[in-house]
Amino acid sequence: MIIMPSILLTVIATWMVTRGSRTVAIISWVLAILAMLGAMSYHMDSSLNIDL
Amino acid sequence: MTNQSPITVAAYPSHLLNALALAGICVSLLMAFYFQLALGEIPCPLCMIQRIGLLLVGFGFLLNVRFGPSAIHYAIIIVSAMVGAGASLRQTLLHVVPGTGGFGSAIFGYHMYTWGFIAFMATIIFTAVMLVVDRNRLGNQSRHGHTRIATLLGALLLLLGLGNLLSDILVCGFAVCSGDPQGYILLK
Repeated sequence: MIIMPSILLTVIATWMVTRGSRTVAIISWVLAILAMLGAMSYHMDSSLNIDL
Repeated sequence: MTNQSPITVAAYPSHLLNALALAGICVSLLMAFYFQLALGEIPCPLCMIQRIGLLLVGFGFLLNVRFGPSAIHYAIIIVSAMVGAGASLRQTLLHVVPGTGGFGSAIFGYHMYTWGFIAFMATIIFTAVMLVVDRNRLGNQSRHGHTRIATLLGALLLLLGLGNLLSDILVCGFAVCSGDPQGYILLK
């Protein structure tokens, strides 16, 4: 449920390109990236087993 | 008065190079589906995020193929590749300590997340080269229009996106994805 919105927005962005709607596609890409960053912050919050 | 007539692929190498890069992204995603469907390796959340990164990089190349090269399109590719590389690097670091094992099968000695990181870095380098190739053409949108290759690759990328959407819903359902999924929740 956390990852799904970014995939959905990516699909919408790609669909808009195939339809020729460049502006809507780019707006969808921005939303997809934001949703992806949200999913990353949720799934990448555990500490690593290494010392940097 | 602007010239809106489409030009041939052979007359515009940028179109062909962007189409080849997009085809490479599609092949990478098809490989991921082969491992998932043929070998039964269910994608983890980080794997799914890397797949989205590949889809978004492919989206940038598709913009170039469909509308012509643009600085915005190349910026989209670079940002998408950086975000995807972040997820790949994170997963690589999770398994970098000796004895922690890996996730999924190795291909030519490297796991898929390591190949993912290499692919995202290669994408950034390729984009830097393309920015030089297209330095005099940036901003000339709509010079390509509808070509068969744009339509075909766009449809393929769209299908791969829909496939990943379906896969995510089947694996995770409408709940938070498990860190180590064992099967398709909605098919049990």
